[in-house]
Amino acid sequence: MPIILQDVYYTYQKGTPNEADALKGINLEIAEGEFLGIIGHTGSGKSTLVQHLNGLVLPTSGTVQVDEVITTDKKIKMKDIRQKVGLVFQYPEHQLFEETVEKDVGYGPDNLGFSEQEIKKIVKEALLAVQLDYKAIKDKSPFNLSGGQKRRVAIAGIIAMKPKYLVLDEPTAGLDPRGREEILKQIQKLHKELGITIILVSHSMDDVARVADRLVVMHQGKIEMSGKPQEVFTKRDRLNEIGLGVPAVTELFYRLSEKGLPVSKDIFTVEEAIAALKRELPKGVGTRA
Amino acid sequence: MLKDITIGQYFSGESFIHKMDPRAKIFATVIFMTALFTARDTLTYGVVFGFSVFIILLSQIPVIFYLKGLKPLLIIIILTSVMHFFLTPGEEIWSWSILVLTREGLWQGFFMGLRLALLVIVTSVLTLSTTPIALTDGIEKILNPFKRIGVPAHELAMMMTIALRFIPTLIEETEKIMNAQKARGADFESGSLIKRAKALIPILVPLFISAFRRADDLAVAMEARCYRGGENRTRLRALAYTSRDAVGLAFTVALLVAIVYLR
Repeated sequence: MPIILQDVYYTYQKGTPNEADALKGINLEIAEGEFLGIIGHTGSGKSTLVQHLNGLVLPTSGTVQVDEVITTDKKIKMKDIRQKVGLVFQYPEHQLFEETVEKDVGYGPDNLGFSEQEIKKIVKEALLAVQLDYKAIKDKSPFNLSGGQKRRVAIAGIIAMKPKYLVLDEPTAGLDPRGREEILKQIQKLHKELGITIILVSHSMDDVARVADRLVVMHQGKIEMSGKPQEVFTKRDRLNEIGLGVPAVTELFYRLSEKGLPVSKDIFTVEEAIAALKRELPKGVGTRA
Repeated sequence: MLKDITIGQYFSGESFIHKMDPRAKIFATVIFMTALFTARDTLTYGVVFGFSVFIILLSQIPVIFYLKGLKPLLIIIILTSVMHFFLTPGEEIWSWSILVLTREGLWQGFFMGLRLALLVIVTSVLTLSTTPIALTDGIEKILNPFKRIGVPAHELAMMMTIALRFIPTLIEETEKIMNAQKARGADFESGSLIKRAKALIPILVPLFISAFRRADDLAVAMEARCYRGGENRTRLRALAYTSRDAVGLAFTVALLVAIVYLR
């Protein structure tokens, strides 16, 4: 069963002078097992959108359906949706509060009512999933870890709830290039190995383009375009107009082809770029004499 | 829930009251309060009430904002009124065991409730129509003469500015953290009192950490710009009285004189 959003509108501070429409008629279906990237500028409504997915925010009008339940239904238990759709907020390390890493990661499963032994096992698995050494880290204070480690502990805290869908809001924000790379790799691994449906929110084309199967581009509370990365990036001019642009590598290939070099334009990773250049360029170019 | 907090909330506008000097508004509020506490019968309360209605209309701020500010104090207001209903000696109109409702009590309770409500509403006129920055500027200016006897006017004003400035930020932060913990299955709404108090720990710890981090950042940022207190500082927007302030103050003084005369 997928997540289905139908005609979702959301208005902030309705009835006050600060009233603002954050979402204006979103229709979106997220299939099980998918790796979806949601891209948009600050204020495009992407963070509001993802908070609809686990019922933290309820639509002003329209419906959000997660598997068979509708979030606005009064009879449902919110905890069930929160468990099913794990939401990793921006800067998730700001939510850490426990004395030890083990307790902090165990907070979610504890709220869900797992037994102590189960929690122990789940915490171990969750920390392993983000490639942290359980034995070495479990008794440390989360506040004494490095920035990248803190973030991974926080993500483990959500994974420990065993979500079917995992939503990550800007998981790479504020990390150095290596930290970003590691987090993205781990997210890919969660998708491939555990089969979790991933919804990755970002404003960085470079990050999302490489990992997502499908992209949704948000602009001013609406879905501007959606489709496979290759399809979306063919609309380079429009993407530039709304201030998102295409990945740096794609931009390079667009410019090369504008200059008359016969290269393909649907390239968005450095690896693809190298391969394409090797194919297209005459022999000898780029090698040292 | 947290959005209901109206302290330090400013409602932008272009009304006569918005354009008054903050100092004049503070003085006017104090004069009004004196008038309010001087009133004691139907006529004087009527005059004060009429004046308040006029001020509210003049501010061009929707009445709903004033009522919202009243909401948290509603219990206190009702409790005060009810106590006056039954505890004022006088002509009995209804009684049940030890509870005796008197005619005098009824009036007294009604007036007390009105007095508290007007107190809150008219002070909200001040805070709603003045930006927090202008307000603290005004307070600093008013306190300036007391510097000589050791009142740290500038420091007090700066502390207030910073505190007010961070109320919305901290509210936003609290909501964010609450949402993050809710996403981890936290439940703040049900369970026993002890359970609910315990449920606050996952909010309070991150909130304190972030407040300290912000305070640190702010201190560094201020120091980086050579902030060193009130000596020799000049203002971008210097406060200046205009004829508008004279009119506003004269009108409020007239209210006080009228009340003193009529009572």
